[in-house]
Amino acid sequence: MNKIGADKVISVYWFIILFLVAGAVVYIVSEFYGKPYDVREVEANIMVNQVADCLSENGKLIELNEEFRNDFMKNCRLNFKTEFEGEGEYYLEINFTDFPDGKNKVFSDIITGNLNLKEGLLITKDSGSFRYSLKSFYSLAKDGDSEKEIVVKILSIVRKTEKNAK
Amino acid sequence: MQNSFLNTKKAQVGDTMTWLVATLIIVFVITISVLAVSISPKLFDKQIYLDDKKKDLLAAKSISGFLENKKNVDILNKRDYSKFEVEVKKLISVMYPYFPFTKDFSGAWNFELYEGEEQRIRILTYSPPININLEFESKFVLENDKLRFWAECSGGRCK
Repeated sequence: MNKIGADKVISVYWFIILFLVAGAVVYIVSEFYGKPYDVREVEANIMVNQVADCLSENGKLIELNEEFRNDFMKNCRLNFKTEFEGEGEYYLEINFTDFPDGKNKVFSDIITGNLNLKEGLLITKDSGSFRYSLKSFYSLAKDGDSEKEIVVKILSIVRKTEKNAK
Repeated sequence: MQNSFLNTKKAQVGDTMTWLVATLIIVFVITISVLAVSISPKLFDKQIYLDDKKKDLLAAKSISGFLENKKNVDILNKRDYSKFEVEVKKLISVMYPYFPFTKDFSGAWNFELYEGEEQRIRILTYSPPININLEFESKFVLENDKLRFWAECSGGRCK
């Protein structure tokens, strides 16, 4: 009895194994490289830095008059428009409180963007559906002839789940 | 005798057993790999951090605002170091209430003041482990005084 038939059967089986391993490797590689990089936290930090740079010059707060507040986005060179129409992908909130306690408001808050993101943050802080950056810094604000010490707290939230998370 | 010799199939069984064991091992390894990729998203977390930051903008703004304050400069000029230390501690407490930048890293701001070569104030709000990197260092010179703010973080780097 010759073994030629047995070798041919094993060859087919060998190819099955080969395709199985190749398929698994392709799946693993595509699963890993198919995931997008999540840059939302960096984006949120950049937004905070941009706002801080806009509000404070040489350690002193700029004048927060009606004109500045009405055109806040334009004055601070911020643009919340994205390819996703209708849904707000960003939220920005700026608080001005006294130093060092931070209990009393010195100026009214500046709030812009999608309010739902903040509510979402309060409910699920570590959700992968958005990333946030919460930072504060010390500054001096004009108070008549003198200067007042204040703390500026900036919260920025970035959603953009479709582009950054899978 | 020739017939009995040709009827033996032990060699074929040997081949098959080898392949059977090899198949089991291959399937096991592939299963582990696929499960690891599918079930463990944290292993392949592709969140980006800026590792190469040298300065921190908000810290620099806070410190420059603090030193712009005439009250603090007067305290320093009067050489009232204990009072100055109190003011610096207040500043550090508000600079970042949510330090660090991400939930995975902890750290704090520290401060030193030198009058000439003599150290007058040293505030360490974070106990440094060995071989830690000093991050986001800012130095200020006011006449004969040298002030230094820096951050220290666990996990190797401040983010």
